Amino acid sequence: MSMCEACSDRMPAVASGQSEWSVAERDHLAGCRDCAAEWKLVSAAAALGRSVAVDPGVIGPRLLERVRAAEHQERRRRWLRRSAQVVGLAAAAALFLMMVPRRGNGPVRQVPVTAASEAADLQLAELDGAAPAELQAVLAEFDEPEVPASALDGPDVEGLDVSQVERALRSWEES
Amino acid sequence: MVAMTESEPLSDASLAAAWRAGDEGAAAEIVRRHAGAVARFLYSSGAGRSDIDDLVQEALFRAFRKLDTWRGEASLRSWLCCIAGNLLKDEYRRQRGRRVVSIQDDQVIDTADPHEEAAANDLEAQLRAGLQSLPRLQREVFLMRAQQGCEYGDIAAALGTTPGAARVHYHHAVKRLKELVS
Repeated sequence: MSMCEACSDRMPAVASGQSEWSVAERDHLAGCRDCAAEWKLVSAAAALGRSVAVDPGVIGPRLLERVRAAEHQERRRRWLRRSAQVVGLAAAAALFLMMVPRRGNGPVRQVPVTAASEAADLQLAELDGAAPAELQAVLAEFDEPEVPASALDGPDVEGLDVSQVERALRSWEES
Repeated sequence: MVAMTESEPLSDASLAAAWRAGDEGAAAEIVRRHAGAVARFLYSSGAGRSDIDDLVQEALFRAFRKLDTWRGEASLRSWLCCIAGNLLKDEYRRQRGRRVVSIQDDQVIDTADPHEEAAANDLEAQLRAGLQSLPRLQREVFLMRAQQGCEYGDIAAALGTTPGAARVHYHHAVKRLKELVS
């Protein structure tokens, strides 16, 4: 059995006081059991909980305080998450750099044999026409012992005190 | 700060936008406009009178936390009622089905005539009991429509259904309540 819906759509507006029944609607409600029963429910529902009081002046500030605190916490959580990501990436990058062989420590590059051979075969043109004696002299120069570094660089000052060092330096500069 | 005049109050959408832009005055105005309606919705849905303050605050807290997701397809009122309904469902689950109705709920005395008052209390009690026995969707649609005055389109958008389906839920609820409420 279908219900009568003649006044149904207008009921919430009338129940909330935003509108009023017209005479025709009033007459219909008086004669229609369906609509009368629905109106009873709707008007009761509209009144339901009217005695329940909440104070927006109290709820509002508490609510905003909670929202602010939650947003602060959310920002903090996001920052921590981002920091963890950055640290993770940095750690991964460091690990990667450690794993990749450095150029200096890598395997020794082999000089091509042909290049070495060519170097050995180099000839000095100015010695081509030299007599054996001249060649001997040149070779003897190569074989001569090197001049000691201390003789070139300055006096040996190891084991001297400060005044002895100064004296030694002065005499070295004068010589 | 939100500028409001007596003749031209700001719409809920403007208040929500102002809140999103950091205006706390707009948030206070939203609370002032809708806290009472949310409280009545919660009470009618079965919440105990002593829990109402906390539940309203929790519902509005949830709403403010996700106000960015409210696009205005549903009215703010119906959207808030939907959140309040979800909150009540969560609370009900959390308490493992234990319904909390305070003792004072049956002792509301507002009218001077004792007979009228008794009849009103009786009807209120019957209606609350009847609403508890309805499926959740029927109860919420009925309350959004009959108590909050929301349009079917609004209700449908808030509950994620169609206006036609919302109308059907409403009529099922009315039919069932007629049987339960004498």
